[in-house]
Amino acid sequence: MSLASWASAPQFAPMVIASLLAIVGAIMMVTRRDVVRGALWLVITLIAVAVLFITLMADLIAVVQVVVYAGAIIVLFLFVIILLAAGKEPDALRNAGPGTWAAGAVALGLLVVVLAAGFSGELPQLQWGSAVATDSPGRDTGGEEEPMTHPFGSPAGVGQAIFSAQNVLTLELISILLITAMVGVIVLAKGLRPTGRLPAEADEGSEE
Amino acid sequence: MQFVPLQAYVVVAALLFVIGAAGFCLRRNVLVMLMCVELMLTAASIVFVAAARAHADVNGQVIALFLIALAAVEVAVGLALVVAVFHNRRSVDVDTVADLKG
Amino acid sequence: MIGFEPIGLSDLGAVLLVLILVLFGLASLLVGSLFRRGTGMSAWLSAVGFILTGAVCAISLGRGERTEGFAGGYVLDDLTHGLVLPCAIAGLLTILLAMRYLHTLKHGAGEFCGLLSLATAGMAVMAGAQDLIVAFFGVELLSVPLYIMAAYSRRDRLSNESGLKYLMIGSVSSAIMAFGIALCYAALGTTNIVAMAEGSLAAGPTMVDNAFTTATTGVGLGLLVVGLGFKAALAPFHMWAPDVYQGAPTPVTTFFSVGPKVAAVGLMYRVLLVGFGDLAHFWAPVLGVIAVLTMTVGNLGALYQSRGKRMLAYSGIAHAGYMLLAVIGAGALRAQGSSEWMAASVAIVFYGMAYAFMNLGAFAAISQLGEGDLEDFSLERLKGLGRRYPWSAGALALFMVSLTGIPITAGFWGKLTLFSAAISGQTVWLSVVVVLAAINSAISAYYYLRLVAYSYMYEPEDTGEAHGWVSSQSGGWVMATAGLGVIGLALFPAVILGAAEALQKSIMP
Repeated sequence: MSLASWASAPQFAPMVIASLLAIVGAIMMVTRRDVVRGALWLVITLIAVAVLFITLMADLIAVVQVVVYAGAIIVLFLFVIILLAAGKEPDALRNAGPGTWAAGAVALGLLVVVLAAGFSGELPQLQWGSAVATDSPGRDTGGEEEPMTHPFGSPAGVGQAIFSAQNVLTLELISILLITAMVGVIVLAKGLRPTGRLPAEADEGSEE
Repeated sequence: MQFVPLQAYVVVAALLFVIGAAGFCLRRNVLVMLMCVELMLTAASIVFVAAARAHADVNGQVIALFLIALAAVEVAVGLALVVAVFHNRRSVDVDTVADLKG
Repeated sequence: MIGFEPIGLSDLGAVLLVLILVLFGLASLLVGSLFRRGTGMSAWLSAVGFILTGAVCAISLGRGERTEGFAGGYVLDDLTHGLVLPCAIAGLLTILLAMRYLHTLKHGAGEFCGLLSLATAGMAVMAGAQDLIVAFFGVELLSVPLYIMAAYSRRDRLSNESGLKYLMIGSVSSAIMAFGIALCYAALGTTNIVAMAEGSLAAGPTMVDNAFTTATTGVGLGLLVVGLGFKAALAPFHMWAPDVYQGAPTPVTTFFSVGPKVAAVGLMYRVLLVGFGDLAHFWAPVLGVIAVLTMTVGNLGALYQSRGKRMLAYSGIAHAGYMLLAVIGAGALRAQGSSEWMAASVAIVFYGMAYAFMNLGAFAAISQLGEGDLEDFSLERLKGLGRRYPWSAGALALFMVSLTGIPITAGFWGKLTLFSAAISGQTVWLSVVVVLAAINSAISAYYYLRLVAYSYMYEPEDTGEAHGWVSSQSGGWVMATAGLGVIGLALFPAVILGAAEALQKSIMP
């Protein structure tokens, strides 16, 4: 396979454009001094990633990405930025120490390895699923269950997979994680006032 | 029918991951650092979704969903801590949050 | 057909330990938040959860049974039991130790116990995970409560910052782990470590198929180890640990220094050996370097500390390095194609138990020095302890001797099993690693035994009540329990070591 033959794939053009947008957005997010603008560039990246998901037949994930990530999470960020008036920094990038450079070198090396591996020699025989997968060559469960009849990546198919034995444990773990986070946030933030003044001494006196 | 190879997606994701990691190391604003972590998690979910497609295994998409939920959890706790620290400190700059050094 | 089968009772049986911890943890959260005076009640609920879990582990350990659940995503075998047991003990003793601290809190005391149970549930998930995603969310379930608990004293600057710092490091290491798992999944098409090892995916790729799968799996595995290394505070990813340990409330620090380390090393053992055994010749030497670095950094760091919590933080780093020895020895055996590698698991379990008792006891003894549970205190304060509080001083001496690993203590047997697990790999570099580990133990004797010298060889400074001693009844109980545990393991090491065969038998499907 060569680059020319990939280019004939219908997903090629949207994939390239979305990738470029995502990378530009990420670079802008990292380099902006103004945190609010950085957050908005992150939204661009996240939406571009949602487009990438659509090119991969993951429509449901794309929608959730936009709604939860770009919608809820970034709004929460903006809310806190504005609440704390933490908009700007004097200079965006601090003086990087030797540790930072070492970390950067390692990260770059990593990227090079993946790149080199990805494009070296013969490409692996990955089984790209057909447009409408009727079955998945998953691990053997030996059962005679009814085959998956939903198109690959459709909400129904994903929903069925979420509640399959393989994923339901993780799902339950996440539900516990969400409860933990909720309780934790309440414990940490209850009674804190955005003015920065401490609540009445009598309220919390002995916790000092 | 031709497909864009999995490697192309992995490379894009790796780039996003490295940009996020670099931002985490270089920026001093806690909020920006948290955003960089989000970027790194998103990079991971790109790989999961692309691999799900490549292996025709819908579980990868489910994992991407789980990662989005995880991002929400970390942001919620992280922002609560930022607010709490800001109360005691009036700053979100990690360099001033350095009483513990030494 | 990917597991679209419904889950059954056997699946629930497999996650029994997690279920117990989660149910009691949630009950404890509920009681703690519903009733203003519910602290005692929720502490009891959490404690009962820990005791039940510990009892189940203790009874089942050594039976060699193996129950898989959730399409092979989780397994309840002897290694799981053996890893959860020290974590449950750590949880129980931490609750006891925390009672004094909880009474100083105006609110959130009940939730504290619940969070502790949930964090332990996360460890139980890590201990038995056979699926990288399950393991990953187990790590998260361990971490998120700990972020919150580190920052629990929200009026205290250090505690706050400790929590924030832990969260930043923790979340970035989670992202690194997630990316590593994603790469492994991209290369191999599954997240189940057993399936990965067997390449059982129908005609699926294996780790050594071609340049892409090998490199991607290798990089993915590397990132996974880096992420876990951050969580377990292995050098060179340990920088955050002393700061976070110092700032967190003392009972939380106590828990930090035991549970996550045991669970993370256990998880590494299972994932690396069961999942990535084919790459052992690649990761075993790397881990060897990491282990030696970790021990050295921990011990040299501890030498120069004059404050209690920081010293124990560094010493905890060193102990994580010792525990890695078992993984390395097993990896070297695996690389040689020997199946003897499973024998090393008993070393992790035994050392986990011994370390839980020694370290919790040491923290209980030292935490009585401070005026509160937030302060980090100077070790100078130990001077004259032996005269004033002979029992506490005796217990402290016992824990310190055991942490050093002087013969016929629990720590000695622990180190002996670890070292022999490492040496069984029979390669030159492993011998070098073990020699370095022994030298490290000798260095550690200096700073551990210095505390004993302080408490016995100096006269108490006559400052009366201002000396800052707060002995609490619960702290005494912790010391007594931990002391009994240390003595018990020293006299009857066979209680755990006898389970070696069962451990080996049940680890592989």
